[in-house]
Amino acid sequence: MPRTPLSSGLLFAFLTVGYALVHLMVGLWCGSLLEPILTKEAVSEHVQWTKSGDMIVQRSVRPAGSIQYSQVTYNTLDGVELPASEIQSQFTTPVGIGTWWSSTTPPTVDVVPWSKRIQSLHDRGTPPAFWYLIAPATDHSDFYLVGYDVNSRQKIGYLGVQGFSLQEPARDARFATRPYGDELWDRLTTSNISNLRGYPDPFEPRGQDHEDIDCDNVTGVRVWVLMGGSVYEIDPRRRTVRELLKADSALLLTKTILEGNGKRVFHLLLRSDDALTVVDPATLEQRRLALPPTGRHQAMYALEAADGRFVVTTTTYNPSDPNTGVKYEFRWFNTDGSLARSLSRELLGRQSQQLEPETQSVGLAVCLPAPILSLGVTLLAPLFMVFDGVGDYSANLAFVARWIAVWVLATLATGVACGWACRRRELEIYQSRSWMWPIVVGLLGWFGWVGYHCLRPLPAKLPDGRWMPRRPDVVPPLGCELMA
Amino acid sequence: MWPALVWKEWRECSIFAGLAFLALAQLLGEAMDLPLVRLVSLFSTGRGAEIPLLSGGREALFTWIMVLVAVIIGFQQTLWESWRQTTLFLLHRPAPRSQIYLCKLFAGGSLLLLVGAVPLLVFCLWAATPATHASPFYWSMSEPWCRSLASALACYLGAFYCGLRPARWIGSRLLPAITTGLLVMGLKYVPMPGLWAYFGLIVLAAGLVFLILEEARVREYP
Repeated sequence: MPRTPLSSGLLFAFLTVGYALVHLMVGLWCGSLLEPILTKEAVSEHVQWTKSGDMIVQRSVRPAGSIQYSQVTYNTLDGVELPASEIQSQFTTPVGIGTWWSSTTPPTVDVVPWSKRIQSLHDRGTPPAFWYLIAPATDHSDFYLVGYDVNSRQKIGYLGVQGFSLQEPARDARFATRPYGDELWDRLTTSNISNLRGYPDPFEPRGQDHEDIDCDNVTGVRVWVLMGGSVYEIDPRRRTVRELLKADSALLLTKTILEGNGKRVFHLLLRSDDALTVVDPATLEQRRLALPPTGRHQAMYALEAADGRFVVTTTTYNPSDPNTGVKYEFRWFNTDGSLARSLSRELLGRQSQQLEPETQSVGLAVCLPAPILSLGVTLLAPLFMVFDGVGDYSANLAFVARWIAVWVLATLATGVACGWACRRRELEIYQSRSWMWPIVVGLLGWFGWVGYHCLRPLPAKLPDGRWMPRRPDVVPPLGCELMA
Repeated sequence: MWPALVWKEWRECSIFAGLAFLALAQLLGEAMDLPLVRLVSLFSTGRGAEIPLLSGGREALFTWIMVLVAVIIGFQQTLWESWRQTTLFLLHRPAPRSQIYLCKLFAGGSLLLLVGAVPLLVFCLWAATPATHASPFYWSMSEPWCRSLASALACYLGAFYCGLRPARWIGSRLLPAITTGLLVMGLKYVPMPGLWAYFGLIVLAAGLVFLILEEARVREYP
């Protein structure tokens, strides 16, 4: 009994997609086996920050035929080589103060999962309480805090812009976070030191990540929020909310810890387009560090050295070819906020190009032999390629075409061959003059041909060399009819 | 005849469904500090140490258990009878093939929902009860878990279809199941509004039910 056209099309889709996935997995596995043989030598150069505020250039070499960077050397910016064993223990991580997302990310309207809309805090009070920052709306456009007594598990109350209340704050009494990024934490920061670099796990308020360490100037758990040109300070233990300071031009709020000489001092960092303001939340003492007039799309990092000086680093990638190098601009600021020194260096960056473009293109042709994919990537990829916020469709198209030319040509040839084979089979075996299957198979290339073959396998071959017809002729009865 | 057929399917699948139910009861009971067996917990130290329904590890395990039992039930309802040649006996009942297979799908799907939805509902009701845990609860937190249930149903249909469709095992027999798994993973894990995900899962399930009924219609049994 023959299938209906809809049934055939649906089954063909299931078979083709399933085979494509298996083909891709096998191809990637084989590629991972061949990769060490085909890789060429690559060099990686990038900057490491030290606790004393110095910059160290880390240069790593991955020899040809290897997939790991093995030869690592460290040099000062002036080129003096340093022993790795001594310098590695001094490395630290700067605070990211880039604001590229503030200009490029539109207001989020998609549904944000609960994992990004809730965050737990332990107030370490007596009796202890858990406080949760909650963005109840699915676009996390605003948030408030809700507290629970740990022992009785009863709800304590809420903290909104207007302070503590027993009722859930109305929308205008919540802290507004839009339109910054996808995370709830883009415009707020906490005094939680152990989570300085990264978002704490929101699901286990008793987890070890929440073992806070007090600073000299800030004790207990606090939350600071940048909203409407002001910085608000929330103290869950005292159940208070207050406007800490005005910050009209601020785009980003984050924090940094000055550690050294037996001190641990907490600072808020406010990033605007032309300055980085360092604020002591206890005394409200401020330092203004003038930033260069760079675009918001540039990556920027700040590091507070042990002696109180600040280092601000800006990185710029080559828009046309990210493998050619990264430009670093360093600015050292004195403790009074004046610029002490600036320096610019161009480093190689991380050469992600492990294989020749032609080799990668051949790999793509083997793993994804479908014209519809190669043509789709050629036309659509330039739309999504943005280097440092710069994107030009024709230039990106030329860049893509140079990389995947072999893939496109190989898949087009495969598609024509598969479509032609399908056309022959349709004509010779099924006596069908329809172009539907040849066109579909041609577009889907090898994947389409396999799916078509599984859907319509070859019939049996008769002894005289003919294919068995789908509906064999009824054999006429032997003998003669006896008329009544 | 239909109640007898449904009852037969439930009885045959009850072993794996029961095991899955116990596993889920242990998994969710542990979050409520009411486990069936006191084991070393994989995810937390007990009640109050995690926000109910937001533990990613617990939800992932719930999903895997549901998908595993869905695939097992899907294959058991088709392959088991095929190997024992009871399919022929079943198809000779005085009823259209499509109705017989729809009856099997109803039995398997309802059993799967029962296994997953009952522990989940109990867990949600516990979480919604005040003073049971020191953390907030919104019903929308259960949405990913419900999506896991729907994903398991789609996997069940994919496995059922692969068991029904005659093809070589080292060939194209499992390809529809692989496609189903790929689509289910996309609809489960790619961030998108819940309605879109459920719409996609319904379309996928409708397509698989259509293919199952078509296969039942065109397949030539001896």
